[in-house]
Amino acid sequence: MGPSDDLVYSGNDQPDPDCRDAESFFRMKKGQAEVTFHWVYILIAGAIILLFFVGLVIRQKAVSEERLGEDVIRILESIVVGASVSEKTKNFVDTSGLSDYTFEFRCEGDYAGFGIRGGKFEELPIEPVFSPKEIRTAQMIFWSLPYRLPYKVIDLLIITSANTKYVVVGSGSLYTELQNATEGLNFDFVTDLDKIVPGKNFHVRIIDLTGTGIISLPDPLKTFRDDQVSAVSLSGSQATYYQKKGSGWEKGETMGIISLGGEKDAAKYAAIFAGDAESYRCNMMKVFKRMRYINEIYLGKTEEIIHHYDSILPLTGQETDRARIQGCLLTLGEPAASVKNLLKISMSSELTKCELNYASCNLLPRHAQDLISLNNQLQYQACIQIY
Amino acid sequence: MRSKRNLQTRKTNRLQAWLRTHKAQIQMSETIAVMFIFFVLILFGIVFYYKYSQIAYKEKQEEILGARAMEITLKTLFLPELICSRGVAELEDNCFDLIKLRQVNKTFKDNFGDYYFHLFPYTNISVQEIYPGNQTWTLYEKEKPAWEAKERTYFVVTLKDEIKGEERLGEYGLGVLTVEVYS
Repeated sequence: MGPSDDLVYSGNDQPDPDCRDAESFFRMKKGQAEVTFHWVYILIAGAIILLFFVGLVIRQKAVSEERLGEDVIRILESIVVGASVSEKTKNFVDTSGLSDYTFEFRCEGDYAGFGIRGGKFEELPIEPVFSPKEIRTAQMIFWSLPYRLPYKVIDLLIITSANTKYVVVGSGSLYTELQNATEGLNFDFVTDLDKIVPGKNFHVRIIDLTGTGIISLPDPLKTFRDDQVSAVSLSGSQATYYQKKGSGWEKGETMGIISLGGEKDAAKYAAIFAGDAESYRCNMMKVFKRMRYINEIYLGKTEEIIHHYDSILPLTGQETDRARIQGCLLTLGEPAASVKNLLKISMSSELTKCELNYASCNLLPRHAQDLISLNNQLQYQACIQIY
Repeated sequence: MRSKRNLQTRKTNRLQAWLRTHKAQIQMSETIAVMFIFFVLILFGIVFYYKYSQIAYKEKQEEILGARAMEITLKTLFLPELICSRGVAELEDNCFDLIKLRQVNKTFKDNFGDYYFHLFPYTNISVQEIYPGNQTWTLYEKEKPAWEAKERTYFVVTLKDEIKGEERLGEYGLGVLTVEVYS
């Protein structure tokens, strides 16, 4: 419709009186109505635009949080990989940007993983990680210790934090060893548990080396929440776990420590840092699973070495060399107490049983000792060693 | 001349009259035009942000893939299944025991889904001998179906064969560890 079309209306027609009244009413109220509609329109449009941006911000916030969680998990996973292959080193990682988040580490039954509380969890189905159940800190500490039985099986990764306090009570060689080995960690060595200074730590773990077990809860720890205080009592090759309950202790399970002993015993250190008995068992089961596969490889290696000696024996002219090779073959594969039988029968069956039930792993250290003897014998006989 | 001016005046009057009667319509059209431009700008912004996010996501994925390739290389280099050992002494870094290496493929295959897939998800790992021979061993092979990107890393390793060379000392060679990861 163009301007000229409108000019058809000249205003000469005589409208009826009612219409005239309405027209005059609208003419009078035109300004008021226009302003009202104008503001209502602005309000509606403004609200829609505002809602659009609010929606955008909320969505972005959710995406950013999810992304942050994923990034943290990915970075932590990289750290876990890096730390687990750098033997015996302690890595101090600044996590001050994440100090508002609580990290959870779980290993129960078939599930093992870690993540931020309330956020995404990353599964750790094969990596043995020994840590408190919860960590909320500005500095995380990663410590990797090689586990050998007697050959290298895997690196046990210990994760702790600058604000997880470990109070060692007792005496003996492990007490002295811990004093030297735990440099940089939040460790206190006391003679009397009532002299504990818990400070503002997120968690306090008592390590009892007296062998008498944990009896009473020290007074300075009574004000802490139940989940913030735990204890482990080490006696020989056993570890008993305790958890604070009210003003006393709740005794947990006693776990066997499957290792060859000696200094920097990875399995014993893992027991000190593990959250509880279930977590220790669950992570050690991962170790024995891996050990079964590595055992297969050492068995294959033994068979190849036997085959090699079998093939060079007829070609060896010198009597001394022949005697040496025959000695090697004896140690490796012929009598019942040979390397081959040890790996194929004793260790393999023990590992299969062990995978089903942790309590069945007790014989493993004895077989490992036998393997050490046979490997030393191979070295003494100038033969190729197994590991 | 006069009639021309009259015509001009008439046109102006007509236009003014039209404008008076259609004031609300014009205002409405103005607002709609402003809103339209505003939403066009917002749409433009969203498209721009979406494109930027897509590129940033792609770059991030490449970065993650590169990091994963390095992680798997690192894991492989320190695998107890492969690494050279000397009794209770420290393990020999960046060295693969060839007798063990010849066994791993079977162990990896036999226990693939149960264990090793968690260790090396969608990866190809091989070792190529450079000196003294030129043999190639495929240690692990799992290609991702319909993969989008592939990252390859190389690492020089020592290869120790105890059944070759001088008795008990073995023979040392050189090889390249190739790790290929998929995303």
